[in-house]
Amino acid sequence: MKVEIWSDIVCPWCYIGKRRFETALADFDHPVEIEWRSFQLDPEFPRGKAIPVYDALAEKFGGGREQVREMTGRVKDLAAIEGLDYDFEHGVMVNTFDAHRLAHHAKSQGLGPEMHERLMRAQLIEGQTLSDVDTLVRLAEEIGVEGAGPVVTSDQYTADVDADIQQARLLGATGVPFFVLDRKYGVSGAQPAEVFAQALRQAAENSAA
Amino acid sequence: MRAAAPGLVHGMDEDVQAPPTEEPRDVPVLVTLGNADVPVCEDGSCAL
Repeated sequence: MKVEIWSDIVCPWCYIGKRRFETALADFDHPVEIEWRSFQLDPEFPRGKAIPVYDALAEKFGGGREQVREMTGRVKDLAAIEGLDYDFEHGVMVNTFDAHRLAHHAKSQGLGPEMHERLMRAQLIEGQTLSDVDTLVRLAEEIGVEGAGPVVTSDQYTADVDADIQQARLLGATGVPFFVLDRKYGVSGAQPAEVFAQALRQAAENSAA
Repeated sequence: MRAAAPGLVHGMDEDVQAPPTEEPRDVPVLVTLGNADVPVCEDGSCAL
């Protein structure tokens, strides 16, 4: 079975959904190939710009930092249940296009899942700035990706990122996380682990029929 | 309950939607599984 997962690195529900899906996968007895695919929630966010997440949210929704802190409290609590200690206080909002290009480069070396995990952790837990070239290269090197520097400083893999986003739209995705099982079933959002487990079983039964 | 997105068919109500004619023929129509009201991030913002 193949599961494709469209996700954006700045998406807090994507990381929660990832953990819940992994919980379901741990109890699933069939081999599953995972392919991470790119999605951008805010492609218009200026590339190179980096501002505190709280400021970005305050600008988008209005209100002050305290209101934004209250808004993010629920997702922070739910993330904690999944073992994810989100740090919106020090989070930095960036355009994720370059990070997605890097993820495609990692995928070409068989390290796509590891790169997505590292990038999401850096963004949502560690407050790292993913528009920074040195940061992206360091994160890639940490998981064994080679040749990250020339990728980050060029436009390599641009077509791959664009193609992923286009595919998501064609498949009907309007948001992320978006899970597609064997190009037959779609599961949208940070569903409970038992829902992912049921979807995996259904896809397996369909493929065996 | 939120309606199935374009190109999707909700697994429970079997309400099949044909994809727009301009879409490539190899794009499948997916059957949606799961709850429709779980949080997602879309269009530049997340349900916080």
